[in-house]
Amino acid sequence: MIKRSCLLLLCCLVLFTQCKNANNQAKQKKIAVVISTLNNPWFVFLGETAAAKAKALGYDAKIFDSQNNTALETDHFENIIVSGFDAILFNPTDANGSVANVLKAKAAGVPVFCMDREINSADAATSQILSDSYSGAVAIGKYFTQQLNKKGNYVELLGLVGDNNTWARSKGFHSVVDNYPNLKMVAQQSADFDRNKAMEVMESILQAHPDVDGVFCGNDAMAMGAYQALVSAGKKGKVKVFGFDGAEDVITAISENKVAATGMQFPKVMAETAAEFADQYIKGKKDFPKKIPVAVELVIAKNVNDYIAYGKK
Amino acid sequence: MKRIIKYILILLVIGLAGYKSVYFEKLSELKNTATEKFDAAAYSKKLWEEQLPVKMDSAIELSSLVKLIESDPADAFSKYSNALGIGNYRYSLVKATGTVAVINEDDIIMQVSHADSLMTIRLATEYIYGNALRDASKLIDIKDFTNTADLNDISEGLNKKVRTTILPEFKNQVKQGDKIEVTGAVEFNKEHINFKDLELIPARIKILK
Repeated sequence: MIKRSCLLLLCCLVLFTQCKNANNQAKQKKIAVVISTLNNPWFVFLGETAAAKAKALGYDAKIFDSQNNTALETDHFENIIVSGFDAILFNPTDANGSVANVLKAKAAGVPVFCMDREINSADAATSQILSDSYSGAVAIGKYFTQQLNKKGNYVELLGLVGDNNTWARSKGFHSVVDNYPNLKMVAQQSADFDRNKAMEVMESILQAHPDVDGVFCGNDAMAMGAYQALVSAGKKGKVKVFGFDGAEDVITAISENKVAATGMQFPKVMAETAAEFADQYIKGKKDFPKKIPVAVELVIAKNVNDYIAYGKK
Repeated sequence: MKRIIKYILILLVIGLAGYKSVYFEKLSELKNTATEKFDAAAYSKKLWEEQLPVKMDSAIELSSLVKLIESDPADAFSKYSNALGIGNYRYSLVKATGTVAVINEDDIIMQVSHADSLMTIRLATEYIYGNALRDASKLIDIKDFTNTADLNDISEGLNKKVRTTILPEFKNQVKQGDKIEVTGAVEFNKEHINFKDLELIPARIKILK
């Protein structure tokens, strides 16, 4: 009996050790890429670049589409943790709603590296690699003020009101333009980062405020929507339009003097940095900046030839 | 003996299960983390009054930096520039002595000796915004900050000092033809270096006459 019990104890210990070894082996190979939505080409590019970089660094990489649904994102995180992934490259669906998922991964010992979108927690993620939306919008605000000669009426089209980037861009822009009292904001409305909605919102604003000199939009899709509304209202070339992102149609529009400026973001830089950080973490580095900004560059007619969509030539 | 082994096994299982299930944190520590608020104004004031002047004393001459970038950009940017974030923008703390050629509403065109000719730079006197001074100073370690808004506030604090304490008096006194000495920050895009449109954000200005 004693012999049997000793054998059982030994088996338990061997099994425990083997489980640990198996985990360690898996941890060196798998990286999950969780993306808010694959319906938007910008996020497809972000996810595919992150996965490609992880593969290039020697890992198995799998992309998960959260379809802008926090509940689906939670399911992905649970599967990822159970499946023994070693790190998560994460583009959150919601700054607040995604925090619980990241904390769950952290508790399970899986590091999370946020890309592009921020979560509202200082220490849940191992590191957050984010576009410096505030500083990018400061540069746009400065150029906007110069272009309007410090005076005139303007409209601001905001993105999704629950998205941190919406407010970082708005705050950065206002940190400049609000210093010039002759620049008057006649309307500020959300168009949810959506081109069609921006067109409708702008059409309605133009009916109430036909004497507009400039439009600042929180992303390029809205800038193109606003531009279409201005063309329909016969104001083509009379109102200066400013966007944010660095999308292909806006880069073309800047070179054709339809749009005045945009803030160029670099999804490739964010995705590759996140994958590199995950690799460094797995190899033993634990000290990362909690949030690292990626510079947003001002694209205007003078330098537009240096740029292509989502990056430099 | 059999019972002892049984107890050891039970204790082992309970110990393993309990090990990762519960952890304790001091409530006082959590409360401190939640309530601590960064005082950007006080932080920027300290940088401006105590640390930035020392850095400005050892700023490289703009002309020398341009020569170094022309000959070995990677080495020059590595030694004489800084940026808190990732990307192509680099910021350098420089000193430039030159003559005021044109006084515009928002800037001053300044001519500075460079090699055997004159280099034209734009001294910003109106639009003092962005991260040039904060990053060029090399006084901030990004790992000390968990909130990017705090970093933005430091930039704004330093820029406000320039707008309110340096520029009003200078703009009142400066005249075309004056010889001036300026220490401040310049931004370079390391992927597309352009010396023809350099903008200098001043942090210290002396009119030498």
